[in-house]
Amino acid sequence: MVAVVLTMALGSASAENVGADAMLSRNLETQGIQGTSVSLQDGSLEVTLSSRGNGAPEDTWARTVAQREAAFLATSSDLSGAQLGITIVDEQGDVVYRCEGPIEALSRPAVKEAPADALSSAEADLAAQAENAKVVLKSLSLDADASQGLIVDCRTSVSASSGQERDAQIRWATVGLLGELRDFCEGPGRLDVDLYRLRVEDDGGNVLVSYIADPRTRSVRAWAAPGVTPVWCQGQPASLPTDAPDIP
Amino acid sequence: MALLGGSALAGPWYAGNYRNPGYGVKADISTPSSMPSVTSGVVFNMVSNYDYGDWIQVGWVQGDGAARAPDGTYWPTVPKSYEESMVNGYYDLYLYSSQPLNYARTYEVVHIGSGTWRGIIAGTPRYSFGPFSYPTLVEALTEIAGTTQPHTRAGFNNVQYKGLNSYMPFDQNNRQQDMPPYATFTSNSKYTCYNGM
Repeated sequence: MVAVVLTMALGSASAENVGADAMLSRNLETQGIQGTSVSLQDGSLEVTLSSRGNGAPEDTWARTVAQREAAFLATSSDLSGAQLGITIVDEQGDVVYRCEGPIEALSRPAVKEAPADALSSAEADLAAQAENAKVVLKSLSLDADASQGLIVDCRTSVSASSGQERDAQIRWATVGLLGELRDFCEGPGRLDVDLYRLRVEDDGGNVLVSYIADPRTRSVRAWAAPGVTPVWCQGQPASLPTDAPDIP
Repeated sequence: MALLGGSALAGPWYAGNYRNPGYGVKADISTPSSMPSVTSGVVFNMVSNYDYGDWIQVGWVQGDGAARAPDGTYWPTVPKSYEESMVNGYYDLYLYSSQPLNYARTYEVVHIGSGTWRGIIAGTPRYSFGPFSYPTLVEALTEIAGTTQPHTRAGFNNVQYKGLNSYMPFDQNNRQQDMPPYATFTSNSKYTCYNGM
């Protein structure tokens, strides 16, 4: 079991802010983020979450919901100047991830319906593209979530077990597929999608990548299993060049 | 070569300087006076830490309008600030506002305690991530990826690393230029990285 700790450093411990911690706790719990506990300490709101299983892949969803719920709350609560922090602790109690930053108010998505067969016209084309990339499109759905809005949910699997071939397959199954999905959903007759949620698995069903893109905030949160290269990102820094010429 | 969403990546190639170790790095990174021509690929001008494959970085990015950014859209075709982090398999990306031409913003990543490092853009704290080691290798670089085409010209001024308590100018010659991108060094802490302009 992986524990997720959410902290929110508040600008002031006003009555509104004290209420915000309870609201955040309730909102997370009602959305199935299990094992939630919330405390306010020295102006900092601490929320502890437990993943619903399978370890880190679920954390991507949990931290996405936590961050969005804090942003939603900021539209109705006095959270000006507040900071949000998320800490993920493994079963040994070691911190494996920490994020903290400003809470930028975001309106909660309107309640929407997922049009029946909205993605059906794209599914065959995407399956063919996936096949060309040696990726299997296992499922594609459009879900109307009462709290998070319209969510495109897509599962794929890659066949290569390692190396450049797997990297290429994962790259298509993440940024490549996401681009195709966005082109379709945001093209003519656009769907007002709030989140794109992708999951890439190996042949055995083990999650290699959990990947969520938020089009409104132009943000991405992802998790890659140990040994999986984050091939979707290009701006990777460099290690110290051992063979760098001594440039005067 | 058009860099499409699922295609293999070429590069990356780098120019700039490194300091090992540091508790932070910051630099005034400027845009050129005229819009760089990026017709194929993407260019990053950034400061970053580097912790054995994990990192947090901030800077400005410009793409060709065809290369996909991780959010599935295209990298911006005008210089735009961003923050990106990868730690223990957890990845985050935030894209921010455009950076005007002929304009410098101070970009900084700094250790704020317990292995957490913060990204700061133009004096505004953005997101912090961790846990990283501390101190780590720190760097201020131009990176081009996809192809060697992306034109760019970025001034790296007041390039500094943080010691235990305070910032000091980069004092090591770990200079790199993969040609492209190229770099003209005035000193270890002041240089211009460029390609095609």
